[in-house]
Amino acid sequence: MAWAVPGLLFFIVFAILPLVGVVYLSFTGWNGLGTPQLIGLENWTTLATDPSVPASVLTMLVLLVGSIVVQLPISIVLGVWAAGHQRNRAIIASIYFLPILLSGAATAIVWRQLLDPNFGVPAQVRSFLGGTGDFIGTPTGALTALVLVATWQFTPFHTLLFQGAARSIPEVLYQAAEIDGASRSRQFFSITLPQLRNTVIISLTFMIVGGLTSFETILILTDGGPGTATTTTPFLMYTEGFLRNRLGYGSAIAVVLVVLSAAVSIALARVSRYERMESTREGL
Amino acid sequence: MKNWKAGRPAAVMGITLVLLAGLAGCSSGSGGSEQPESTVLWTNDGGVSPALDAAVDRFNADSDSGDIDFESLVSTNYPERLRTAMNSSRRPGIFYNWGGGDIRDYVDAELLVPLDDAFAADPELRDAFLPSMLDVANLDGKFYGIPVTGSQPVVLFYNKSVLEEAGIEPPQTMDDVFDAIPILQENGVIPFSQPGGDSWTLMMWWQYLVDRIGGPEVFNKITAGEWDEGWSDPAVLEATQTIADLVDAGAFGDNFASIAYGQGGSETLLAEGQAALYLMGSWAYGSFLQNNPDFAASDLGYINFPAVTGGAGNPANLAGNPTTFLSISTAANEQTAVDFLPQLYSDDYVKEIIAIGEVPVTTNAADLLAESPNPEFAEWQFELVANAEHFQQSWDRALGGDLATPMMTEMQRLFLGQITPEQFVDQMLAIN
Repeated sequence: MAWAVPGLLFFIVFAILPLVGVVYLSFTGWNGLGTPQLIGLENWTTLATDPSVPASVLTMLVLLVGSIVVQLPISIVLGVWAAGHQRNRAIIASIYFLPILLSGAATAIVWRQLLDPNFGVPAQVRSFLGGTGDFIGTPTGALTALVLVATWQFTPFHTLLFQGAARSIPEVLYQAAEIDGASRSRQFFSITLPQLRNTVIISLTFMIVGGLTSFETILILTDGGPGTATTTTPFLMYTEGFLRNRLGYGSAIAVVLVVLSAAVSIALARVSRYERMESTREGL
Repeated sequence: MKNWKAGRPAAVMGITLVLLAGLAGCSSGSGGSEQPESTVLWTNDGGVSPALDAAVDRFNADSDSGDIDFESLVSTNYPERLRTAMNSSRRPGIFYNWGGGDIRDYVDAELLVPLDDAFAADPELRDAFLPSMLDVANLDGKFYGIPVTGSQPVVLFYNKSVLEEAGIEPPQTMDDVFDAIPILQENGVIPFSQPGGDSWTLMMWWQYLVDRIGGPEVFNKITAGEWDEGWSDPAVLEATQTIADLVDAGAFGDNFASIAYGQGGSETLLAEGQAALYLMGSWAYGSFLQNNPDFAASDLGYINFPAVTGGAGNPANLAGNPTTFLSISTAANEQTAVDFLPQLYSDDYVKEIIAIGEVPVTTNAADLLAESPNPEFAEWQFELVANAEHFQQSWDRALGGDLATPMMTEMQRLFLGQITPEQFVDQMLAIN
């Protein structure tokens, strides 16, 4: 039991305590100055009728699903490819992993520059394919840009997970398959993918948690716009709490976010049967 | 697993204790009556920081009422940091701000020291600054700020050769603007370079049009709390409609929503002749000077925002950032802080900020502007500010975050054609 104390204390001080504070603040009116005043359920009744809250949850889900659908297949394929021991793969893979080392804010600033309609990538596309170069200024374009940047930034990390997992698949499985005359693609779908099942779940968990808390890329790249097209729930919380100085209402949104994240992670643990801790070594 | 159960009561007790300690900390944290006196000066302006630091040194060298500690906190989240500090025991004694709505909450929370007594004791201090500028930091009839930087009116920049090639004069009225748009489009240039990815640049159109059409009274009503009356004024709908007309006419090109201000793309468009005109704060002159010196020297023209025919507003009026201020908080050693203020109009300080391109709002600036790195623009701007009957503070600053944040979002949606002018006005009425 003693070994858990440092971790537990850390968790209490930095997770549980602020959470209690946020729940308390959600019942107060506070503009950041003076003492928070208890105002009962006012923030919560506002929240129930505020259309921007469900809209932000929807935006967040769209981004989340978009990121998963794009990132997961790419990282699995690249991870399995990078798991090979050929030297050229090692070199290309290590270059490919570079974005992991860059700060999220710096990445977003660079991408903002790259997406300038007159001097960036859209301008090049325009000179070949026509169009206006108006990409990040449209609601669909802004959402696409966020998925694109998240993919560029985080796929290497997930690729790394799949590379490690693919390397730990026992060679004997492939040897047996070859004796049975299974094709490369058959091997991939019948051996590699099932063996990566738990890694897929881990990777999904990271993506969902990351998606639910993603903030700085949105702030720098789209600022929640155009209009409110990329205003996710965490961004809405920031807008209400720190730009509008409605810290009580911002806290209420934060509580919604906590409940939502907790529900998702419980669901994920259920679906993945995480608590049973099944062996990854299926078929051995 | 068995050990966990045995340890449970102890763990629960530990959690409870920590929680209680935390809550106790919360409740005692916001009292702040035992606040020590602070003579710390916070500034957020990287440009004038060295000059201000030097002014503090000069003051400290022969002050008989104590020293001032200078701290430069240049960051975009300065307002949030300041707000946190203002509600803590580390409240700065003197701090940089934008006046108007920016200090409204601090005034309401009685955290600021009015300067009226200081003005009464030393009328020279008051007379050293343009009265219209001191008014920006006048809330509820009391003065709360002394200008620390120059003024930054929003002006209309243009590319001289692009207009010449199209055979048009710089627009004097909005009718001229609408006449010029199709001609410029035929010449293959974007009429107005507009970094529409940043909503505050869209607001510049808005605040000028409302002022030209309805005069300063409309916005004065809105900031004075007569929200519904202000927004229901016909000038508001007319200004909104004009913006929709500009967008429909293609005044800003077909991809302005994707252009971000911070990346410099909007300025490059004007400098390279791909766009004809550019509505921006006077600080853009400095960036042209730095990034496109040849263009700034020969091809860059500038005028005040065009008049609206039949409009109630004086076409000499300005909008933008009148100036920025230093205010004194209740945490300050008041004597030291007030004694420091005359430094802000001393010849030394004024000369130093002129040398970095500022156009000060002190009455002695006119004689010193010849030393500006761009005297022609600086003198033009000083005249512009001195002749303006009214200088409208940027709406986001004047209104404060609570009202300005949703307003900026709706403004962006209006420019993108996501809402009609009527819907925009309805949304505004619903905010407050």
